[in-house]
Amino acid sequence: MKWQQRVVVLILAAVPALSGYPLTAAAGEILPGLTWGWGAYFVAVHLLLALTTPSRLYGNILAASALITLPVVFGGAALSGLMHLTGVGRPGGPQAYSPHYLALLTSMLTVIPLGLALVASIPFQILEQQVLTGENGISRAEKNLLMVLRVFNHIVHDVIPATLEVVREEWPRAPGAGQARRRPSPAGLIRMMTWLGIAVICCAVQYIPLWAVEIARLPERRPRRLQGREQPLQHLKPPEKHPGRGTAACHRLRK
Amino acid sequence: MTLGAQALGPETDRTPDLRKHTRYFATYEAREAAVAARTAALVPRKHAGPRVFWEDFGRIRGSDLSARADSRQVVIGSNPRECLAFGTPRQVLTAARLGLGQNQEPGDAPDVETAARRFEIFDTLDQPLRTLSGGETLKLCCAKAFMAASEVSRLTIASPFCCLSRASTGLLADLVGHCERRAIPVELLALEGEDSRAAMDPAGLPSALRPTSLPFALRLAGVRISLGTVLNALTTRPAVAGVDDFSARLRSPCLLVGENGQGKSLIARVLARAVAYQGTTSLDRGRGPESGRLLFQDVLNQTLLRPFPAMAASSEQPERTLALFDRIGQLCQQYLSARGRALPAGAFQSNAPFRSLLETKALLAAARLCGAPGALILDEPDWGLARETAIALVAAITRVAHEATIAVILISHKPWWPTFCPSVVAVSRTRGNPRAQTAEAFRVHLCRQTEARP
Repeated sequence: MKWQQRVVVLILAAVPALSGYPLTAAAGEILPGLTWGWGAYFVAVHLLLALTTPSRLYGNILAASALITLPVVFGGAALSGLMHLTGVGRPGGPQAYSPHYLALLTSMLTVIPLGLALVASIPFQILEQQVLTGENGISRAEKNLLMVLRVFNHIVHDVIPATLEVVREEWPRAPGAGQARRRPSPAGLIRMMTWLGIAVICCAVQYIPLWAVEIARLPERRPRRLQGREQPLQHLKPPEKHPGRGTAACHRLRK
Repeated sequence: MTLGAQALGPETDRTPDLRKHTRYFATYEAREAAVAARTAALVPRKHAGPRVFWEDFGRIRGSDLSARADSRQVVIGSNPRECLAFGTPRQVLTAARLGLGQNQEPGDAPDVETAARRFEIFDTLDQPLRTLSGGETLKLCCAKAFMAASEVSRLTIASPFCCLSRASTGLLADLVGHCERRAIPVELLALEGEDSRAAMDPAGLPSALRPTSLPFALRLAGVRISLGTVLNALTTRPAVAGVDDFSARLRSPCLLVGENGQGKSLIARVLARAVAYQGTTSLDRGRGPESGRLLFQDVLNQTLLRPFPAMAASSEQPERTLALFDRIGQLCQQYLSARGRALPAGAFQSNAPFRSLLETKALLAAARLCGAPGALILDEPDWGLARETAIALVAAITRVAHEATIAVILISHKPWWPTFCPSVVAVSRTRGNPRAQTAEAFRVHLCRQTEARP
């Protein structure tokens, strides 16, 4: 399946989660908190993902989804249980909050894999390259797309990895990285999460004006009626693909 | 036409040409102010608050991404990556070629691959920008400026001598010569002594900073590093870089040297466990295997934009960190006084929330020394510092580290350091493609410079 087809199928599959239809129609409960609608949707989404994504990718998506979901659901449920035991929780006890967490578990294990599969299906760098190979200039929509892609790629491939490296270095978990390591206090942890959030947001957006200038410099697409009358920008056309391009052997041959 | 540094003749022939275009600054902050003046219309004013940022953003967004920029000046900042708006070198160069305008004669514009070969980045054309080293990124910026030369009104490069290794500085001269032939004004904004090739003289250090030597053992065994990001790992089998096994008894301060893109910073990240890897690494100073702490080249990112008091408070021992910070400042002052110089006004004395780059580096180093790691690794500690200030800082940090029996590992291109470091380890890598879906994209090899390479 081509990536474009896969993206369309996955977007269509996301419609029930976004609109609620027809999930709300099948409101009968299998278990308290788990409706027939969500149960069927969960099964259908995972069947679709298993059929449309490579098995390695599907496995990674499942692992990532579980890592995101389980701490939220079980942490939340544990906290609710603790609050109930200390007498500050909901008056109904576990019967009151358990359906909520079961519904949360089902929806997260459905929506997160779908979202991850959708993001992983889009070859962002190929899209960027395709836009830049236009022979008649770059349209305004394509420029906006280039900017969106740049920001996304910058966050995913630059900001987050660089921040993770700083975090790993700043809080080394391995023994021997420092003898006087101590556990951060809750206040210190919250403070650090705040700094991390600020740093990530600032790093994500600080170069946008520079990129806007770079992208604005790309030539405007000429009107369609003029395209046939003028010489196409042959010098802007990228060279044809060479099977050995980029390899050391090819480099030597070309020299 | 020349092709690459080797074809350009001896570098010394080029040095006077570069000096003619170079303006020297005493501090990073003064140099950045000059760069900001050049790019006042483009660059968001950092640390100026969100209101100013959104003003800038709104003003540029107002052009609706369709107006051609009024100014055709090219500015390569001290972080060259910031002006690259695309994902790979091929895309950056393709966009530079597209941006030449539709009246451009085809013969005037070099094609992407010719420019890439000329600036020695042909093998990295399809790599994601993040996997390029600092030197390779600067070469890419030079190639981009070279392609756009026919439409450029001015070329400004900040910190031109910092990222490029000695063998690659000829490329810079090549670009400057190309601009000279087109009567394009070129301005190189450097820090004092940044282009100096004289080795430092350890005998000239004040007695408090005379280098001492500390033995330690460095060992890497079976190290394999994943090169992809989390998203890459979702979709593909990420490429892996291998590191040849290495075990040696070294003496601190130890210098890691190598050309651009050979993997020096990668080794530093492995030793500090800042990246995930398989295998074993250890730094042993007689107390058993330990890991190191790292001062990144880009310390501004490492600060996470925290103000000075927050950085000090987040260290393990805030009071000791500040004491070590003061001691480093005093030692720097001693060195500079002996050389008839002085620290920038207010350095190590003010209470400002945002301090100079020198103070930031000193504080981050002090915070790391407090934890008594196996080694403190300084990745390009001379980045953003004038020569004498860099020597003062490194000598001061080394002295303070050795007093706590902590080894120091330096990573630098500069020819200043070999006389300061009793151990020198060369880092090199096999050629390869980091995007390769094979078992190993390339291997990094370390060897003591006195040893013969296998």
